[in-house]
Amino acid sequence: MTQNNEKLNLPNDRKSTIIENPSNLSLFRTSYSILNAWSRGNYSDAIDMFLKKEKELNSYLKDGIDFHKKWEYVINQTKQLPKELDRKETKLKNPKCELKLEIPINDHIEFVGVIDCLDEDILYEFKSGSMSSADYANGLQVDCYSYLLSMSGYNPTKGMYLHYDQYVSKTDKSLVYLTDNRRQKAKEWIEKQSESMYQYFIKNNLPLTSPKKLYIIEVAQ
Amino acid sequence: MLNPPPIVEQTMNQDNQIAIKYTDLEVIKNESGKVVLNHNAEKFLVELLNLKDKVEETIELCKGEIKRCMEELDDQLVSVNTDNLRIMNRVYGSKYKLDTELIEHLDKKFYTVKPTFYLNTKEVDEYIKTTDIIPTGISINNREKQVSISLKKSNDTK
Repeated sequence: MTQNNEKLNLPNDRKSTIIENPSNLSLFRTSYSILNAWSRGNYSDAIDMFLKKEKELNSYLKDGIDFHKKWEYVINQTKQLPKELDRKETKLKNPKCELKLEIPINDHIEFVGVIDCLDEDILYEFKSGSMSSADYANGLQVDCYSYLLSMSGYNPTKGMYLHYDQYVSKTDKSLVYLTDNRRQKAKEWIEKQSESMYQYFIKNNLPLTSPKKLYIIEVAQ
Repeated sequence: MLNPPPIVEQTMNQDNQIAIKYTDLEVIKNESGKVVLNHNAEKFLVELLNLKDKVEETIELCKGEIKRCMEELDDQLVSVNTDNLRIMNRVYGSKYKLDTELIEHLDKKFYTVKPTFYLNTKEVDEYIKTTDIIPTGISINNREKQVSISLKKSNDTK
């Protein structure tokens, strides 16, 4: 057994223990993007994403990656929101960009997420392109990340989708109150979608990634 | 003999929620048909329609207040999502408007012309009356009667 808080991005009052997967099952390691594609019936996309198949980058995806890198850089340098995402360039208190977290859902499924930015109790998701933040807010991304954060010892209360439409140079934002009720619904959604996808992989002998480890996260004494 | 109209109570409870007695609404529903036989039974329905107007008016006032608060907080905010509500503050409808009077100056790639058909009901009625035949291409809609009720405005003489 080893302790590895740094890798898991845990707050100081939490400690993690990595143990060998006792059931020796291959872990099904999934993310919101994969499960969202699966839940919408885009099975081929979901499987390709899971298997990390090389995807040709179109201009939209490339723009998205470039904007994310730029915004992460600006936040790390200035400790404030980038102008494209917030006209007021709001000052941040303790921003953590590209925060990668992972939690076990059960003995064979692991959920992983990379949060664009967490500042104290506010979770920010950055979006570019023409789809409005209100449309993203109809999805469950920040709810799933809220669940992921709460299971990792954080306590987010608000989720903000910050969207920049680079084609018309306009910004819009959507606020989601992150409640226990929403976290519970997100948890149930993750369990349902990931189990459904896992069963499909087993039935069709598709390869599972196999880190063969589990994390136990608890409050440090 | 008519029962006295039920009083629909609207009160603020301890959780600051508006409470309306559903049992009163059930009584109104059961009594409403009596207005057909006795016009004095209108009290039940007037009470209900006043309540509906008040609720709708209050919802509109809430929308105005929410819009003000959202824009005061952040004029780039377009939606707020809670456990049970999705609040949107965004523009609706077409982004652009076509000025048909200036259509000859407009490049044809910017618009599409679609024919519009209007049915001439008077001519169809006349044709069926004289021939007892429904013209090919016309069918009769299966229309059901619907009751409508509305409060008379004070200056409404109809």
